[in-house]
Amino acid sequence: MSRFKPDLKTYTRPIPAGWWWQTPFLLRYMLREWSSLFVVAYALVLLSGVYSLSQGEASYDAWRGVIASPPLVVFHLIALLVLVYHSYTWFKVMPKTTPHIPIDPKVITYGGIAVVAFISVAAVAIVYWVMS
Amino acid sequence: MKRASDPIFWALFGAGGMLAALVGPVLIFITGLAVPFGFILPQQTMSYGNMLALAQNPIGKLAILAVISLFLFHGCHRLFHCFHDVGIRSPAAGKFVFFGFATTVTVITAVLLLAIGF
Repeated sequence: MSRFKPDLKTYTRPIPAGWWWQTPFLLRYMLREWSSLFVVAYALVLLSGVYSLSQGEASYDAWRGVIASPPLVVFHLIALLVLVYHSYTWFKVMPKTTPHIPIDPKVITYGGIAVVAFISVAAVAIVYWVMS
Repeated sequence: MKRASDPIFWALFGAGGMLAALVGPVLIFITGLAVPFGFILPQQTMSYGNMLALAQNPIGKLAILAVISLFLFHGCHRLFHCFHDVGIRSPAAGKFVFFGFATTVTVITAVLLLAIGF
């Protein structure tokens, strides 16, 4: 399970294909890491929007039609859940990924989640206020 | 020499992960669910005129580029390791494919944003 291996022709111990099904810990690990698939996919959805925007109004309106289509709505619903999980895990592991600072790990985790909640509500409120 | 690129990609991974954690959920909610259905926010929020104005604003351009590029560098870093975890192991090829992809898309996004003009 070493994450880094040099390009050497050394012996690699065979690992059973479904190793990550063995414990809930490994399953959560895999879920956290594969959440990146949705982060990448969403970035590409935004890129397609930027491309259509550069091609003019008709092209952009067609893109908006695609975004409102059932497959993309399902994608965004799943992506939303996955990104919420990403936010949660990001701040959950943050006490381990930051240099040693004299702050209680729980404060970092729940503080981060509180900041996400604040930013989310504030962003929707600001867009709502600007548009009304 | 071989190790020299790792801290850069690690920093981009961290920056992207942080940005995705902070604004990812709300961005997906706004652009993918709320605005397309006029739920809470009006559909015209993302009208052609509004989004063109955003993409023509220098700060707007920077924000769009930051989200797309950093999300990609974050995601590609993790996918690179995910492929390792499921047994597809080639650090050199993996780095070339995943970071090459993120870099290429970053350049494409920057070119498109410049083409949209100011």
